[in-house]
Amino acid sequence: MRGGDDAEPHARVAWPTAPASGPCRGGAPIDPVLEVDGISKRFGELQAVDSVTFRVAPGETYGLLGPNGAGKSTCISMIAALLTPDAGTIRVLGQEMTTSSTAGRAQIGLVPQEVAVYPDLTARENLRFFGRLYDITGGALNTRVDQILDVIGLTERADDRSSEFSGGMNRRLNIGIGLLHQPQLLILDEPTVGVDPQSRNAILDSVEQLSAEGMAVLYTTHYMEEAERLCDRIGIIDAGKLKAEGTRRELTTSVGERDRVQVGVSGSLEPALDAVRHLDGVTSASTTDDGITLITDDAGPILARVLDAITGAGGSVTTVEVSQPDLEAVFLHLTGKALRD
Amino acid sequence: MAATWLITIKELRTQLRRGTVLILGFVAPLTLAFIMNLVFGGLNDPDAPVTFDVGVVDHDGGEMADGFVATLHDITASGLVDLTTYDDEPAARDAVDAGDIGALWVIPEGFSTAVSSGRDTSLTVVGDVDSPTTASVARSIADRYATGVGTSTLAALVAVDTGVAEPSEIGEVADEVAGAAPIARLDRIESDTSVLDPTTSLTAGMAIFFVYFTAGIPLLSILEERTGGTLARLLAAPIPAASIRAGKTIASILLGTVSLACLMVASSVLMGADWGPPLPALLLALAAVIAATGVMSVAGSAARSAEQAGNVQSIVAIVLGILGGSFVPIPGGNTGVLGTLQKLTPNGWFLDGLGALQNGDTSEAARTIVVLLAIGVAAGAVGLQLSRTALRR
Repeated sequence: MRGGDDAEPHARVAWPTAPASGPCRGGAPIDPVLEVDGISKRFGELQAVDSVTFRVAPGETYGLLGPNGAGKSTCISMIAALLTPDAGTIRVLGQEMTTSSTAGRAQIGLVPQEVAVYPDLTARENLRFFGRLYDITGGALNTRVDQILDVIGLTERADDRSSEFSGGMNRRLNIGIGLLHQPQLLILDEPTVGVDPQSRNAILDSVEQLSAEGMAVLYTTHYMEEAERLCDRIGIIDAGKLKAEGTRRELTTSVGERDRVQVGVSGSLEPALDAVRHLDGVTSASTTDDGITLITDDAGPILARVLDAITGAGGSVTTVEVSQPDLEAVFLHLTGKALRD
Repeated sequence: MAATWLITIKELRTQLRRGTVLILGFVAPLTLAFIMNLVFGGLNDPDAPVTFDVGVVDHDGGEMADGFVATLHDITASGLVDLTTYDDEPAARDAVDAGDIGALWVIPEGFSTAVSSGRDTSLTVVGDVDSPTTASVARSIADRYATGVGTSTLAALVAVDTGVAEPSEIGEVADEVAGAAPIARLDRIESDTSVLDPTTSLTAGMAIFFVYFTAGIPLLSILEERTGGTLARLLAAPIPAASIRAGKTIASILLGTVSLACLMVASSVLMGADWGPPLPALLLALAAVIAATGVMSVAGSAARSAEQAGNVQSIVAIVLGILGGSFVPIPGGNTGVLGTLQKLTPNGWFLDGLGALQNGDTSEAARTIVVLLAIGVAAGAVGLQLSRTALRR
């Protein structure tokens, strides 16, 4: 699980929303790949997006989490220069994104929610067509297409029309096209909707790998578990507004949610309870029928000390169960409704 | 520009693989033209003589009536009418009803006496509703005869008034005047415009009608790509948005022109159609395709889906086909309201241009090409403006 845990295989950035405080990695400022500043979009009476601001750093996976109709896809459309914001600016690697300029678009790999491939073309032809649109030609194009076919596992079916592919294979081709030109920012708009569990896992693995390789990823989803698994930081969006953003830990803490640790103890419970109650980081502790329940901000750092304290107090630990608050609870707290309402 | 060609090539490849364009652009128009040619088989041979089957009943038997019948026999000798003389009027009318003859003249009793004495009389024309052209020809002959008789009678009356002739000599004088020149004759039937032979007209009509369906591809393709998500991908790519529309339009024009060119060759070989000199005919075809593409870029541009746009485009194609004379020739040629409406359609201009080419009138054909290009550019400009909205909708 990622979600902002400290022990990650690559650098993680807790990115402040305010531009003035600027991102840093190892003390050096890092230029964001994507800067979204106060974008808004209205369709008639509907305020689809309302003053949304966030940034995505290199190697960071930023999740936009919200229910259907929350404004995620409209945000994506504006970031990819498909729509012009009514207000606000969007920059990709410092280039302002507009529908008329092409400079910033070359840095973006867009994976639309729909399977955006040509069914009458083969997988190879689809990749070659889009590759050439991004000015990849000749031997470089052939090499890159072969690489992508290998990555998405379609080498054997490269010369079959995509109309003959399964849904999962088309989803992989859909992502492959987005990766073809090695973009600095990969935008995935609900890429797992309608996908079987096996293909879904493959897609999530791919995203994790790409992020690990340093690609900035903007990922929209209404699946809480995907956001928790993939995203370094998450923006919770509802009714066009960014309600909150941060790591999962920051989000859950900000709304008062805590980790719950249930320790099964044999032997006398009262000495064990006294021993753990006063440990730093333990918010509260109480006994249950067969053990002790602790409430803490973060179970990870204190778990070893808790177990040591119980053992030191003469108790014998039989089971340990840690329950972390999920984003569903955060969403419910922030919006007053469940994520899938 | 490179992006435009990439999109053109992709569009050609996908459209050809789907096969729909082959059906709409080649198989359907050729098949329909062939079937219509079979149905109107009598019109197949452009050298076949045109004859009008007519009849006459003479209840009078006087000099003036004999003169009229003699005039009809003169016209019959020219080969343009096939005259049957009936003694019995009901039998003659039955022949009209049965379609054996297309029109009938009935000369009433006392006709000659009335004409000779300058009194009013009438010559009845009975026409078959299913043979309007024959009936029209019969009426025309009767009108001309009546005018001639009127002139002769007037001349006789003037002669009496001025003392040149006695009142008892009116009939004689009128006969002399009438005998000076044929009272009625059937001129060579000509149109004020160049008319195509039936086979070429049917094939060209079907060809230009079906061109609208290939011409509608750019808009439909954009709407399909929007639904499928590939349009978002194209718009997100570092290429000008205009290249998307341009690439699809070029593909459509290429498909339409190749389709028309193939139809020209196939109908010439298989059905003996005459499209005139190849190069000007090809230029005319290209201009017609551009005009149709322009019109179709407007038709359906407000639609939200490819299905909606396709329906609108089909209706527009059919209406333009009817008004433009793609299915049946417009009555009255280029005159009247229908003639004016025909001139508002690329179909009408295309058929007129082909007629001009067939008759060797290259300057008229060139003018037609210019008009078709102007229609294409004007409609295309409107369509381009509308498509900007469609692209980002």
